[in-house]
Amino acid sequence: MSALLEIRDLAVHFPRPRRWREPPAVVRAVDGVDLDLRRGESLGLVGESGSGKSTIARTLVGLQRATAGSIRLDGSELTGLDARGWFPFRRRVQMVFQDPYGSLDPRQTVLSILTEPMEIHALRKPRERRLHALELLEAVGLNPHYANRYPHEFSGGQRQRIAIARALTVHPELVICDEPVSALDVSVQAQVLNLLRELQERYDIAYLFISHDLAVVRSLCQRVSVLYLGRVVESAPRDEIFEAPRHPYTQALIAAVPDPTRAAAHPPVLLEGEPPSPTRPPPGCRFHPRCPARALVPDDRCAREEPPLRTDGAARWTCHLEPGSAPEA
Amino acid sequence: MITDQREMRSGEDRLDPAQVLADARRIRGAGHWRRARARLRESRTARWSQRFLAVAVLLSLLTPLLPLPSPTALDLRALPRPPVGPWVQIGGNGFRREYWELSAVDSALVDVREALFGRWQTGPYLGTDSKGRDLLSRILWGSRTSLLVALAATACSLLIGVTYGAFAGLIGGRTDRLMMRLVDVLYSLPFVFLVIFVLALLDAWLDEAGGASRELVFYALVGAVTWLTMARVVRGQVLALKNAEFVQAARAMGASTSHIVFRHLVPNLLSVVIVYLTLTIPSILLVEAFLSFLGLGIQPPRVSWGLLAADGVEAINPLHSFWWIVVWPAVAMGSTLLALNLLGDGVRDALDPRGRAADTDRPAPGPGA
Amino acid sequence: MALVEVRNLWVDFETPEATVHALDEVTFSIERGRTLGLVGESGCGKSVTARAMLGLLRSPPAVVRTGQVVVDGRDLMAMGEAELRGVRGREVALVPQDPTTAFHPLLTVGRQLTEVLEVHEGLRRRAADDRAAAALAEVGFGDARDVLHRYPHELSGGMRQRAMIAMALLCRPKLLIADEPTTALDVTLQAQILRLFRELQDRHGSAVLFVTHDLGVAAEVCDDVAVMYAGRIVESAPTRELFALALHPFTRGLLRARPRLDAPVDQGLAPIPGRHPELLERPPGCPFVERCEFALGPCHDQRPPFELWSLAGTARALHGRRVACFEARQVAAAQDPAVELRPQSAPGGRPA
Repeated sequence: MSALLEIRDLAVHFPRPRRWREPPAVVRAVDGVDLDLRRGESLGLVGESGSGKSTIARTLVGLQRATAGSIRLDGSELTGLDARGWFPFRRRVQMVFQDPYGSLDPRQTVLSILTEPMEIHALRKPRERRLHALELLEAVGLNPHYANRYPHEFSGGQRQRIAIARALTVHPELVICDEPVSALDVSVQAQVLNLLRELQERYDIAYLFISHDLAVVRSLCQRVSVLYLGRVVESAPRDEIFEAPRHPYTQALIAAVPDPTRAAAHPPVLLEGEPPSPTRPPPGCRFHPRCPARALVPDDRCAREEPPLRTDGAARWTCHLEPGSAPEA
Repeated sequence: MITDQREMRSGEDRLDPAQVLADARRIRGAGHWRRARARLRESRTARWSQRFLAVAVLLSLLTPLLPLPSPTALDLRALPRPPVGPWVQIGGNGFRREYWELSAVDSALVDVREALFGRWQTGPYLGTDSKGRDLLSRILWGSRTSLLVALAATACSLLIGVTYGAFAGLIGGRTDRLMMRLVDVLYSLPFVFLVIFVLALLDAWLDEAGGASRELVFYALVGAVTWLTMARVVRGQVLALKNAEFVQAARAMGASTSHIVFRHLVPNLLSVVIVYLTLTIPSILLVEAFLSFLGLGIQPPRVSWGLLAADGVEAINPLHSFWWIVVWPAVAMGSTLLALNLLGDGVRDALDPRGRAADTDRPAPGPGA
Repeated sequence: MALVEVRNLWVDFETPEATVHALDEVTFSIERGRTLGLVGESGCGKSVTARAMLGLLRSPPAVVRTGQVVVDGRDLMAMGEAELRGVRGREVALVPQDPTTAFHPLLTVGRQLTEVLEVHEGLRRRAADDRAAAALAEVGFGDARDVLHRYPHELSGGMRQRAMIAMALLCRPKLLIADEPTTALDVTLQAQILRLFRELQDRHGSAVLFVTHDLGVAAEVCDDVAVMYAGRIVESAPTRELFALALHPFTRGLLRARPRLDAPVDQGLAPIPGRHPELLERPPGCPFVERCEFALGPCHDQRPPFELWSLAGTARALHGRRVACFEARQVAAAQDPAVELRPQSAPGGRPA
């Protein structure tokens, strides 16, 4: 399979908002991230607030400039392109935002929302744009007869369907979903997740699926990358990451998911504290101040040295701990 | 909200898209403006204010056509004449074409009036002032000044205020800070002193040019203050809209700045601008009256409501009660301001996004990165 | 009698445009030392219930048709505002969803905690400080004295929520209401806060009403769970039992719609079709009927009673397993054909 998206050593830093009597500082939101995504595949990007997952999304759709590193879409380098150079790639990479209430213009009709991307990219004639928009409304499970209604006349789940339809109007190869279901109720969440899966098969789209909810990611993505403080700490195929997580942080994340069926046995690993600020990430392994496995590594190497990249089949992770020496989580 | 029974249906029974498109045209959504109009229609006060103002504006526009006495024709009797009911005296032939320098349109209208009614004019239904000038005529002619001031303020607000604010908000950064600092500076100048200062400065030059350009300066000054707040309001809105997710979405799609401005910013700004305008106009009318009262605004022989108020002060007399000189201009001005304010409130309520029930039940978004 | 009893609570919201029937015959009770989870989707009335129990329903637009909220023998619905102020924070305390807006930004955390004690218990500054520091230490602050002098913005999200919990527990309330206290937090912080709730519950033994949309969260902290739909409680049961066997189709749907870490992935999720109604009218039958796969004739026009059920041959209904569904037997059979359900009339409950 060919790689659709190749991200190498991506860094996105921005100046921290100036504060009184504090020296200027840089927020290292994304700091050396590698990601690979094949055509028609979905990659889950998991992490807590401040892990940099939304920044990666915004960088991929050109809302944020990369500080360093490379983003290659289908072999073409995107970083360093100016607005005009980037324009043709914007059609191929679309985004679905978290908030179905904020991402649709309240003054536009659904039809106008759906034809807008085609207008921008000068695809089709006006009448065909409208017909195509109706087709997509149907494809996402909405009644196309309501095309002249306004977003506020739809519920949250319906609006998210509209947002998904909008992303699909220009035949993208990659759709970036930034927490697309976290604002929805559970029953509706499942509807939208099933829809995303169905559309992927039908239109052969790749998803970069960003979420803080591991169970949601598991239900949709074939591969998962776990982010911590702007770095990928583990990347592996779904089954491996959920059945045999290798990085202590991944283990802790999975253990922290509340689950009605596991309620009897309380999670054994619980992280203490909160992620430090990305302005001053800890030296060595960024996870070491909270890591439950730190004591197992001799010489306190975790606090001093960058952890090595380890691979095992398709899984890769960065940790000082030798594979096999950690107690099973 | 739409309850869509077919939401989950399979795509098997496909519809003819062209037919759907035609059908969809008939199912119009309730857009922002449509809902606002409906809400405005529901408010009884707003409806009556609207009617009152429509009549007032119409009267004001047609004033030169009406068979009124000239507002400046003096009748030097000893005392002001009290109101005379039309049933007592409908009018008589006494019209003298005595005005200040009228604009071409107005003088053409007065020509028409003379052709229609000749020298016939109405009686002093609202009385006359201490110089024997007909009050009804003066109030109506004065309303034209108010209308002009309102127009000037609206134009300035729209042209300068909206452009300036939108520009500052869009560009952002240092340009924005500089532009807003200028607004702050202009804001902090006390308005009355500004007017006195400018008029004094230009006095010599104005005397040469005559009264007309003095008024021009007055309008320019009124305009100069009204756009400031509009600029601030618009800039704030633009800043908020710029970061709104739907604008970000458009940018991510590759939309150009002009596309974003006309497709997203303008339609979303419009209601704020309108609400703000309807609420500014009454205060601008007051500013005009205040300045004219002080003798800094409209100059005689022209008429304005502020000048009428100044005349009214002369009527305060311990011996004779010339109540009509005070009461009628006050009634005219008061009812206009009341109607404007009520309409402004109605418009604000109708356009206020907080009134939308659909947005109150939104669930809280989960944690994002 | 239970410490907290909500009886037959009917609440409408009347606005010029419409009347929303927010609560419809809500009845439940919480024993001392137990945690009841109130679970449902947005707009189902769970937050309205929480506000009613704090005496925070403002009228207008809220109209309490009937009902009582009895805390320790006193009916909050019958109290005046002055009396309620004495109850709020002292006998009934709230842990809000968003700790960021719940703190006053210009006062130190210590000042806000001690104020509660000064108002409700008339403590002097020094004594109040000691109590506040102790409360902060109890929720896991190692440097409690130091935290007293900090401003809310100097604390991180998780710390703010801990401080909020400390504040709620200051006066040893009889009833603690937690309104989605972990929704704004990341998973690892959520796990910390949930563990804290369990520990505090063991120690304090007050009754807790835990409002959440997440069944998983409810499973972690609650002894009993009440599921709400369209302003009604449709099912209530001890947590373990509810998750073992759902008797209401909505509960079953919620459990099946949730992506899980241990379910097979390939078959997709089982969403509940349609969406939550808007409560603009009271349906004559079951409010879930349009989304329900089990619905039959009577579901459309008869209101299903909130009945007590027992499982044949077991004593598992002893805690009071209630469900409002005509087709509960079918719902149970769809999950476990071996289960045999029997309506049970109990003292105080309605006959089936």
